[in-house]
Amino acid sequence: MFSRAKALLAQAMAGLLGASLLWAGAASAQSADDWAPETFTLSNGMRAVVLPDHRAPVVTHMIWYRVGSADETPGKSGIAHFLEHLMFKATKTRAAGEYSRTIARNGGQDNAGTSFDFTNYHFRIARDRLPEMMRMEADRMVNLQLSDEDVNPERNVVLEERRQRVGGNPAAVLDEMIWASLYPGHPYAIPVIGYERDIASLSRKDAADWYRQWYGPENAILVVAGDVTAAELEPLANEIFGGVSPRGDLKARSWPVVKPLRASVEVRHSDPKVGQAEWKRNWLGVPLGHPDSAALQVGVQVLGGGRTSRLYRELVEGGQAVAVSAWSYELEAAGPLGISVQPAQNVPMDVVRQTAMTIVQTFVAEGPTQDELVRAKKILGAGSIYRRDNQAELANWYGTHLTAGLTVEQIESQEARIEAVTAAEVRAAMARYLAGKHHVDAVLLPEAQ
Amino acid sequence: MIRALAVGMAAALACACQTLAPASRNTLAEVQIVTSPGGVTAWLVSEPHVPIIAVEMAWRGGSAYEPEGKDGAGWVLAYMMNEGAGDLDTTAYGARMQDLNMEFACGVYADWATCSMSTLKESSTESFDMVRMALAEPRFDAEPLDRARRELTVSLRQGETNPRALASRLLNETLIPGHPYSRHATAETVERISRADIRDLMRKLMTKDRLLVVVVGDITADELRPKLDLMFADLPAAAPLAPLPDAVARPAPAEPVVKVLPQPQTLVSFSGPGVRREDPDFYAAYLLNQILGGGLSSRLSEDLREKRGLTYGIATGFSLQSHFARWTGSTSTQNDKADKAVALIRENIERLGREGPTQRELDDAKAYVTGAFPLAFDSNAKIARNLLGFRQDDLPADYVENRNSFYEAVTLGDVQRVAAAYLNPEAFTFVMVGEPARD
Repeated sequence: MFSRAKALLAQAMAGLLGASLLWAGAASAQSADDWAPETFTLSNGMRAVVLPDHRAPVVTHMIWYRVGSADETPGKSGIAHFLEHLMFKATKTRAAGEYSRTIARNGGQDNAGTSFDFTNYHFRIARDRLPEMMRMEADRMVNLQLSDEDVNPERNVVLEERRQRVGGNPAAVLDEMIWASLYPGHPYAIPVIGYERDIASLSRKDAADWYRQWYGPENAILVVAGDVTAAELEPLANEIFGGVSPRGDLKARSWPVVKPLRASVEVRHSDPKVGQAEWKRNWLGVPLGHPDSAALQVGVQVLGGGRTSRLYRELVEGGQAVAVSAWSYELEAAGPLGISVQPAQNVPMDVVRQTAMTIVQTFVAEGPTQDELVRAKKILGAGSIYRRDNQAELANWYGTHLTAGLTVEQIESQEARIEAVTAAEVRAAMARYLAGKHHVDAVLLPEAQ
Repeated sequence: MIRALAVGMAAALACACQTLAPASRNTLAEVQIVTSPGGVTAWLVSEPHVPIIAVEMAWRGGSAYEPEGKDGAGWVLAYMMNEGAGDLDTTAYGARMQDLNMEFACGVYADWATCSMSTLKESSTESFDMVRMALAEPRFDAEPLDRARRELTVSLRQGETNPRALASRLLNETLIPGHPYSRHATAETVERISRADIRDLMRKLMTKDRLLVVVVGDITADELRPKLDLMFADLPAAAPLAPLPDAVARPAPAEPVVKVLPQPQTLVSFSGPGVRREDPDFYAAYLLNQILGGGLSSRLSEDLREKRGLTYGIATGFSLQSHFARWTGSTSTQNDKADKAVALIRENIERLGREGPTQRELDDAKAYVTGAFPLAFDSNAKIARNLLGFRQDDLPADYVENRNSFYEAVTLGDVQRVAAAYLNPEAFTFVMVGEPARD
């Protein structure tokens, strides 16, 4: 419901399964070719992707900056997200709040999001309003003017946001502990929203520095989905964003490698507010675009994806658990791979953990059956057709992959890669990332045990 | 035509440069009214561009009709609707849904039972048959029934520490104690729910005479007609439902009602008299709500968030149940700022009620509300959900075309009159969940 920074994406660990965009079944009026993504690059280095969908006279416009919380320096956690909030304040020629007011006045909706890997800004609007809104987006790419008057209340807004997301939510507290344990020495260990003490000390200068170091056309990717073609968008983008000079001295991303865990760890959190206990196990998985990505996605689908999955049938239908899940959450660097189980009342945590790990070990040893393999691929493939029904979701899918360094061709080839995965590859991939590997166990409990 | 309205509505921005022409298409959704040989009527938008089909169904009458002492039966019924039918047990039914790449799920709310199905065009014949089976031959087997009760019990336990769930219950108990809308499930009522209760509730709620259907996607009217009969022919023709009494709110207490929950923030929820959907003043009230608390440029958001940094968000809206129409809102703030937040909310309600909005505020609200309408029609799934909403509100099929004209017609005098009638802070009940520091 509340916008601006709704999308702190790190916590959505179970999402992002699915394939891509080789759409089956050509449409009639809009032929298959009309759906094909088109790309171009502006003279200042800014790249653009157009995802045509002419069903409604609406466009979704997203600017993705290749900077996220994982680019922050020690003591300044939360600055990427704080700057995202401040991007809605004044520029040299526009008053604070004018951006959103103008979008609303034109019947549009705007928002923004920050993750470990990126910061994005987006609006959805009737297509004929696009040019003027693009002008405002280009304006705040280089002309932001931060004043204490705007920065100080917004810091409190972000502190309230942290209280709302984490302070009142024991599962979110546990998630912060999981990431901290899974990524020692890597910036994914630091929460996207930042630590409370860091946020409280972020200054106007910190925000201005961040903006100057990371924001500019050469570090931005434009994704526009909806009722527009590249032939229409390219001249517009050239005129509007092409006129923004490259900064020339932006920082370059530099992260340490994700190191294998040295030992398995267990983290626990208990709080009287916990209504349902939960156990999770996370291993280190793969980054976006990794060769093992497709096999792992099929593998976690068989293991914990829905009602026919192994974990669901044995644990939930078997009465030991009320919910299960499995994920391979891919990021620009290696993401977490894991499973979770919520035990039924009066079933001890150790019992469900044992059952779950027996299921995992059997699966790792045997791999999927032919039926399981076919079903999992079908589900992942259908996801790509359903995704085509939602331009905002499609733009999001592309932006996430593009900012992580994938090309449009790589993104589009993902469906074919999933289609080609064999049972042996699934088994091998699950074994490679799970068998004998250290992990982080996490236990959420209703009260001190 | 919606497009023409959208073009004419907002202040045009000066631009001497590249532009995009408005789309050639001039309607958001061409609704056909399709009646099957068996007498089932559906709204259809035939949209061949993506090979999927969405079907939305609703029946008026929901959990307010659960049997006495069996609160939660509606939730369990909804859960059970895709847990096995015909000769397919829960596992086989679930596997078949996955194999067909279809989704089928139901919900039971206070006033409504709903189901929604989406399918790929290529497997739609089989998917329609799965819906038929669920409606005509539900199994309600023991294992999924036990599981449903178990999961509901867990979710109720989680609700005991969920500020939103607690605030909503507290508001109902304060405003309309004893009315069916304020009943809620407990572990004890869930324990009592039997297979027969679920079956009887389904027969009572899901009848042919109250069925509303919307279909959007890659299917023609001729293709749809026989499918409507296939899916719905076996539903009971009718079942009587005694009308519910209108809920009459108790007077608002002078002080917020507090529920203590240990956490750093207090959730503040508030509820005052609302405007019924069929009331001619609904459109003026909707615009007024946009000005009060509808989005980041609203008065409440400007004051509490932008100016004072008291909260991450504050929003207001309407909760329009068939027999209880309310104007509601909520925000979260640090425990020691909760009193301040309530005072500011009351102040803003009072001022807007007394002075009404400015012409500029009204123009901006109209520009947003009319201009954003096409955004609700950019996917088959959204078109289907929105059209079903129109049907639930008893609106005609041409509402898609006329909707913006109702908002355009609202005058400053209308909103001032509605503001004066409804925006009285003394008529709003406030509840707090958290550990508010009270003076």
